[in-house]
Amino acid sequence: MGWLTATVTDEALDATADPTRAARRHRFLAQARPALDRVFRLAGLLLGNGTEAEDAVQDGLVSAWQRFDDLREADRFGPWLDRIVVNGCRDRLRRRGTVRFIPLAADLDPADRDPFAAFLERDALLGSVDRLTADERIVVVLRFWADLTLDEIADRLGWPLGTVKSRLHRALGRLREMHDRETRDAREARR
Amino acid sequence: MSDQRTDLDLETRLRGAFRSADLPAAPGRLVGMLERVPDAPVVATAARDAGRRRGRSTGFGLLGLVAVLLVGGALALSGGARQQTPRPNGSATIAGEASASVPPGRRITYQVVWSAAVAYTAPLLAEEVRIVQARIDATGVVGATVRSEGGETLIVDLPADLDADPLRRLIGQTGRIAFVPLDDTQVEQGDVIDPAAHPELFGSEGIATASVSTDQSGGRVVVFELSPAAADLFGAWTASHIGAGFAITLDDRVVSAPVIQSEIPGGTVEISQAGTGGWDERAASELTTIVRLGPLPAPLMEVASGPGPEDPLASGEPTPLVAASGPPVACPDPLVIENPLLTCDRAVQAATEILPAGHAAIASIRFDHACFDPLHPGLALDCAIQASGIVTFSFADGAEAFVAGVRIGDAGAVEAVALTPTAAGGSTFALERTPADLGCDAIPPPYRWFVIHVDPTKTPSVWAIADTKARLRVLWGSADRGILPNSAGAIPTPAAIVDRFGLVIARDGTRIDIPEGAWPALAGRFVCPGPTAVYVTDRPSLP
Repeated sequence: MGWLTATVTDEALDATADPTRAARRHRFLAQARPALDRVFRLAGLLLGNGTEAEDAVQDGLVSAWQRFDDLREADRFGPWLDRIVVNGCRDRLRRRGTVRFIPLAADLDPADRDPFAAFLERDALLGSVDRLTADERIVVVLRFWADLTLDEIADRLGWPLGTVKSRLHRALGRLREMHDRETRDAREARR
Repeated sequence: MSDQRTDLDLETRLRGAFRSADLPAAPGRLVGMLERVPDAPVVATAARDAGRRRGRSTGFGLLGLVAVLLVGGALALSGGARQQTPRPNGSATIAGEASASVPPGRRITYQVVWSAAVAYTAPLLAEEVRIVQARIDATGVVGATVRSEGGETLIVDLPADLDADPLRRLIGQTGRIAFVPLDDTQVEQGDVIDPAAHPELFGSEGIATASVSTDQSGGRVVVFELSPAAADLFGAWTASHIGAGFAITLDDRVVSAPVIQSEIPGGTVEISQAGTGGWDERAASELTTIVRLGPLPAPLMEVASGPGPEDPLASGEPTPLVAASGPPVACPDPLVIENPLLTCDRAVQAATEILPAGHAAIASIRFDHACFDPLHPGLALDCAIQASGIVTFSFADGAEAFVAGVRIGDAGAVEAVALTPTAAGGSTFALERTPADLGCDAIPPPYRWFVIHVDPTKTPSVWAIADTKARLRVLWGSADRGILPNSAGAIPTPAAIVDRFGLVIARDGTRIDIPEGAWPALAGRFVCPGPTAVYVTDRPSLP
């Protein structure tokens, strides 16, 4: 009864492993790799913060790997991963209500600024997205950044279409309100 | 119709704004986490029997990958881990040697005023200490310490040569902000408002953040960003109360008492001050610091203020060795581990109590939370483990450091256990070690469970008996230790195996069952059951 240890490389493992297992891993990697930038940016826009986005995507990937067998339709990997990551971000956004975030000083060197925060602050309209609720923000980012249809958003998040519509409507209403006020303020300031 | 048009315009603008995004790609750490999956060496048991090869490697393909994903996860967190490294000269550091040339600092003693509404709990007290420390740190003052003593005393030691009054003002405020409708009542800045007579619209929980800014005329202003819920509430209230009086209060004292001129939707509230230049710089940063860090759970009442202890050993303090002017203590960055259950001061205090008598002069003390593992920075993933840690005492004469594992016990008290052999006589016993590159067979062992036996008088001191009556060797992780009850009686346990944080992971009689089709775990770590030996590893158990 020998207890030997050896290092098995990827190739060796491929050669010896149960082909379905190896194939499963390769399938996961082949699909996760090209999706990585996209889900990272999605998480970054939802959370407005690159560091947190990294954590969220990492959690999402671990969870996706663990649940990979649940994914029945192979061509749905992208939407499926989106859903996992978005749900993770949603939890994080909601937790912000109770966990207090200590903002960094505004006078930080621009090079040190978070790229997502900097992007969202560059445009007044995008800056207002930050003030939406978690669900409103998710709908706005998926609709206007990811360019998904309402049906696709509903499908991806597992929400009823009506919910997606009403959340988008409410989000747009609030953005318009904020935008109008800022325009008015700017006009008054010019006077 | 016009609404629809505006919506369309808005949608076009949003799409355009998002499209202009030059967003960063996934950072290298994240890419590496994935890419290392196929490339990482997967340790497996070499198969002699070709017929078994498939089964073994299969199991390992799975195990190796999951483990790498987890380690990758730790890498992604390494930014945090880096910051957690104790900073000997950082803001959370207690500095200053006790020596005649250093004048004593100032010690301010506060009573924590618990009430029926906010009753004492250990986490709340830890939060109180954390916020006070964070408020001091925010001013840039280095060398101040905050610790609790008993359940309701907070001791703040400030370094010498420091104007203590601004800090006292900062510390002494509970920091509760309230937005209070006043209707016709006239108030001025500085007035105290009775919360019973004027209920608030919302309090600190409604404020997302605060910052110092300048208004159109260049005057300094304080800006509050409200949470979405508070913003809605405030917008609705202001819309229906134009012309009414209103106050923003800090601990019931009026900071600003404007008259509502128009609806204030959107949740940005700018607070200006009359006079040229607006807010006094210090007052503005004081207010924003307090708002950002949040209110103290319970109010503080200053009960004493005087010089700090000159000689900690002569002062008769209950915790002489860790008094403020004692050796430097390195604590984790309070911003990295928010609300730790086990605070640095409590850990150091508990560890000090089990220091063997007659030790050499202490050169420095260092505390690490269990989630920071300098030996395996990639392995300790879970910063949720805030209830345990490790305290290291280094001695001036270069003697071997004294290491204590510290944790919050079941009763809420802090327990410490020595992790190094002491002069009091071998508090540890030898263990056999699992090789670091161990591979584990996917084939189940010929037994279904085993019981660990610990008897330090025997050699080896630890073994296991399987359900088949087979005797098994038990090998342990690299930092596990066998401990005897400390001769000083710090923890009255029978001999046990503890991990590097002093958490007991096994003792005489611990039974481990082998789950169907999976590997067993012990204290969250992967256990490999071999035919003649059981290997407890440093690796996390599989999910």
